[in-house]
Amino acid sequence: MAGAQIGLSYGPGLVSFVERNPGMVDYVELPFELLRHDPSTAAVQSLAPLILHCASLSIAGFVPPSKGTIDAISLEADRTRTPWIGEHLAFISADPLAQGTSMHEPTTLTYTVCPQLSEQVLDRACENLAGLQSHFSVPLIVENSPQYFKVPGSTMSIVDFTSEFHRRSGAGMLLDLTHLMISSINMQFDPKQELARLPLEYLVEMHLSGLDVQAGTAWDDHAGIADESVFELMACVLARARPRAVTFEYNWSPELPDNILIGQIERTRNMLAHA
Amino acid sequence: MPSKSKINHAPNVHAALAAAMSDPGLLESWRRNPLALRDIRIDEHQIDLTQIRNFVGLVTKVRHNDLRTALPVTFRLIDKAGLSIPLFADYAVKAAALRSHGKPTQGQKIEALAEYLKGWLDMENGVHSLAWDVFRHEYSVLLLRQAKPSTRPQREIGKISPGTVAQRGSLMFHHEMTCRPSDIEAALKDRNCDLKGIPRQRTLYAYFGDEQSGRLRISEIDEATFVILDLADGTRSVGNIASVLRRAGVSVKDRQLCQIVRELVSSGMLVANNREG
Repeated sequence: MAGAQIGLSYGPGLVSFVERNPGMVDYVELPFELLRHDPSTAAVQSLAPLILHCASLSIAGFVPPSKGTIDAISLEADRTRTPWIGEHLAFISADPLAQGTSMHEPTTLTYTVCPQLSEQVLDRACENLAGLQSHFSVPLIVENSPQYFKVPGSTMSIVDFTSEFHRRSGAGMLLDLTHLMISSINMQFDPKQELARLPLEYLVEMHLSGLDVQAGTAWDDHAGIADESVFELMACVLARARPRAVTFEYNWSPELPDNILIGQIERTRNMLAHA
Repeated sequence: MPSKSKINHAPNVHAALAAAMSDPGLLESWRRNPLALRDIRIDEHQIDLTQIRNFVGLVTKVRHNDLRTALPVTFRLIDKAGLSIPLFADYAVKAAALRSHGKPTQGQKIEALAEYLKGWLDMENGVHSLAWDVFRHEYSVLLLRQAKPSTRPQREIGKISPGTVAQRGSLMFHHEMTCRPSDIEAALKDRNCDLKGIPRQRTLYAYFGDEQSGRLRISEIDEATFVILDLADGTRSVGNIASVLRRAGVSVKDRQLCQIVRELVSSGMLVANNREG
């Protein structure tokens, strides 16, 4: 990929949007899990190049993914010719509870969870990344989690945890600006001040989506659009670093009007051009 | 197995979070008895079970994203009103139970959600009643759109007499709304709209398929038609319905009601069965 590209994550309205607006997006970000569940989604590659996104590697977890999952990701990475694989700095699988005899089998969720923010998890995440990277022909880049609640046993902030992870592992950064904003609201920190502490020299890709405040908490909202606060964060990032890709994650609803999405894409293209 | 050696040992914390998130029933049991967390070496003072429950609400909501195509305005409204996280947090146990029988279809998910919403929403609350209005509107439209067009040849409407049993069509829905659903949809086109600005007025609607064209029809109906549709449950004759109306103080003769029922049958809202003998 040459220059900063702009893409959309795969969702119910994606194909028709790309068909209605040829040339508007440079790539489509496709979740590996969707591709595995429904291989027909790969057909979108005829419309635009793909970037593979992933939630199965449990990088910040203690239960490794199965060999079958790793092999399947590797196969799809080669087949889709993705330039990198995006994954979350989170866990998706965990040990069974040591309660009773065998009250629970090992637990695998269908979504990623912010890990305990501690040295123990940081070490483990760096080890996991190094071990997993050897299975793939393209780099793994890692996305900051949104923090919705304090995780017991945590000893550092989400920004310290994320920063240290990139410094120690050398992994590329997938900076989700909305996740950063969500964490800042929920953990009560200044997002711009904390953004200034992130090692943006590792930045590869950015994500933008909506956020929604309900029950006193900010939540990820891929049915909504990124608001001004997220664009302000993007401007702060672009003052210091230049990503290779910016992805709009509007993949929960088919409803987003074209004019709004096109407006945000053009605004971002303009910001990238003048950065 | 996670280590039992330390309080809040990372693998143990992850195990507890994952267990609570995958089993909302377990999470509820911990909320009732937080001391049980000590048995699994988690400090109950450091874990925010309410926030975890809300996070499960987010996850449950995301699992229902496939309903957004069928119920777009409902989702927009409950998101806008800040109801979707509390709703799906409360619904998580039932949603998990539904999934435990295998992956539910879109129809099963909407039906289960409809049943839950009916009890969960506070109809005295202005925003909740808007949500109930728009949900019933979109659900009725969906069911009618999904219905296969009738292959029966169009039946001639026979004589409607006081002995005729009038019954709502199997795909006819009548609802009492607190607003016009189209006003909700129009308002929500502006993401910054104020829900309080949506005009409120009691409005009665019938949703049905036009027998002749097969097209979906939504008609604003009057009070009398609404009551007749309510009473036409297949157990009452037109004469019985007229009696009920008269007892309620409505001045209507059998002959007049026969004419009204004939029009409702003709429009496709009612079907008529003439009893033998």
